[in-house]
Amino acid sequence: MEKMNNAEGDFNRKEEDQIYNSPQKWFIREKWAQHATIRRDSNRRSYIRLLTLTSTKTYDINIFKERGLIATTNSGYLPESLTFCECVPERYARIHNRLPGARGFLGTFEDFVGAGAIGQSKRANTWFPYDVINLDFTDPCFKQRDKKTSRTIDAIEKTFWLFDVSSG
Amino acid sequence: MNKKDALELKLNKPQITQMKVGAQILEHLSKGIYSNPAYAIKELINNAYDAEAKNVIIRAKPEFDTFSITDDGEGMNYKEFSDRFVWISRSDRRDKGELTKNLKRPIIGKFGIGFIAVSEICNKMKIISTKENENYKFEAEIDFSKFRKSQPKEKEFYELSEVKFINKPEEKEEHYTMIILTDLSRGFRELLEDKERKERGIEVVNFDGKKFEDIVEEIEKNKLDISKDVGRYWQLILQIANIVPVEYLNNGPIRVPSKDGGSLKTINDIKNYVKSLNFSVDFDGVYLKKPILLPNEEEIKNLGEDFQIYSFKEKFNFDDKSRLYFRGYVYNQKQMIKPPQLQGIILRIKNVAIIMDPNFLEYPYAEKLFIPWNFGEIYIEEGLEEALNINRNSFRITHPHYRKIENYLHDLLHYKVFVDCRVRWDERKENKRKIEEEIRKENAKSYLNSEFRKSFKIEYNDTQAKYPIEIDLENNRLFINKNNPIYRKIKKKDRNFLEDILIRFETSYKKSEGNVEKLKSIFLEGLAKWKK
Repeated sequence: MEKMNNAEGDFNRKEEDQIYNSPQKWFIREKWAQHATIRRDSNRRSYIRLLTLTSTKTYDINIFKERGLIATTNSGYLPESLTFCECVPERYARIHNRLPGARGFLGTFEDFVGAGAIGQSKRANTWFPYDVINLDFTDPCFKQRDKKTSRTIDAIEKTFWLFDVSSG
Repeated sequence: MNKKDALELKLNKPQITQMKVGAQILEHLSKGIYSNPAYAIKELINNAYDAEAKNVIIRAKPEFDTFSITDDGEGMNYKEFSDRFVWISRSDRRDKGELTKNLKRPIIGKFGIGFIAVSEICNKMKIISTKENENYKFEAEIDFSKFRKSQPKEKEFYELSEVKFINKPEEKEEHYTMIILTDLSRGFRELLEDKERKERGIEVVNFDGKKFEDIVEEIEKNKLDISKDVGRYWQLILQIANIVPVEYLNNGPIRVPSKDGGSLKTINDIKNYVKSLNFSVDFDGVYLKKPILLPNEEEIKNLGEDFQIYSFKEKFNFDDKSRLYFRGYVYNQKQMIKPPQLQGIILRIKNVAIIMDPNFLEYPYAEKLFIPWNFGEIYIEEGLEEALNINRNSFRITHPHYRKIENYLHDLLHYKVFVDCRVRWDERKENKRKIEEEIRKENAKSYLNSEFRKSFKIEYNDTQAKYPIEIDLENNRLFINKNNPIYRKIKKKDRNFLEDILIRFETSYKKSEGNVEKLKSIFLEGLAKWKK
């Protein structure tokens, strides 16, 4: 996992672009889109429900949108088709500006799913399940402050649990 | 209280003291001066407009956890922010003139209290802004909730909140201001979510995912009453669209030329001027335009293009050397305007709507019938601003500029618009009467034809005749003698009623040939079949 930005809570346009605009990222996005197309075609819906940790330029969403994988309206996106998570207010607002109608969670992904806690956020409770979850982490999975276990790994585990619970 | 403020009057010895304003007034002001959150949000949009922004993006939907406003205006550094906004009411916007530097827009900000508005709708606010050619941006975090309790009365200023500043690096070419509101006040959030109506099971129209143009078309086509049929979130959007200096709809405000032609010129001049301000607001993906579209498409189809436009452009000088310039129009149609939100007059100062008054500034004459047939806009180009109250959505009605506009509008309506209205009203009544008469004639004919199996002609007679109704069976004619005294004794509205009964009676009389029982039976049968 790559480390982004000089300190948590900051937004640095150049650094972000270096991370999100690399050839590796584009390769992965292409594979994601291919997989999501298969997923959509096997669904009863005409679109997928995407949860993403996107960048302020929303590259992954742009690809999904171009390929008709997520549902759009005349004024933006269908809420149940697109959710993003972002904890830095400035980045959150920039992403939301690009994605009118999309569901946004101002907080970490870990907070969203309620990692290391009983239950999950009110939002996750009503928004799950998703067809595609793009956990494009830009912070280390094992942070210094996580003393015993990684909260991020907890969050991933919790995501699978939430998926099971919400899918019945 | 200071010693020098103490009043200690001695007999026959005058003493002078000053009347002062206590800091507590600010506490009251900061608790709320706007009757509606649309006015609070308008202040933030107006700040962006004054900062020469061309695009404003607002995001709140779908969850209303946050409310953000981003603009591409000139931005601020921390010093400017501190001077303009941290010290409420110290606006320096107009220190260098009445127009903005580059785009030459008339500056809206006057009181410097726009930011008070924010404290009414949220507890926490974050502002991030940068100016072109400065390689840093500042971030300010404000928490209003800490200061919601009363402060001591002796204080010279009222602390509205605590502001935490920080500077961070930014690209030189960037210029923007971003305001992120979190921990939205409960009332504001519930209003956006339309919680009360949902809980009460009141159904409202949902415009989610639609373009602004389609929303306005739908309101107009379905004659929706915005305050009843439309949810609070969409009401807010429509209100804001009406207030802020965004352009008109492509086919609005008046979609077809009026009967006398040419009078759309002033409207088109205004429309082009507003467009030249080059200001757009994207509210949750919906690009706002002024939601004014008249006449209703159905009305054009059914009634023809029967409406008038009264344009005006006036200049007045006052004894105190102040001036009042304004231009605008009154649109009038021959029936009630729908939606009702488009009945009335809008007064705009610096292209911002201050009031939308359905009563045309307390129109004093007894012609209230015609009021809902009219809509108008007045753009104040100079003057009247001094009459603005601090909330910027009402006026001091005693101000001479306001009095002048009020009288001008009332005269225009009374001596011009409503004079034409009366003519049209009479025309309409006469047309209606003629149509009704034709229908009545046809009904009477068909009754007589079926009773006597002959083809009758109906004639109205103005001469004094012995009987009100006469049937001439030899010449197949029915005479209705309008001047017979029997008609004079009853009210006009009951005449048709009486006429119908008399036709049936006369028919029964003719058919019964003197047999009273037969007359009675035919007459009652005729009445039973009679459809009014």
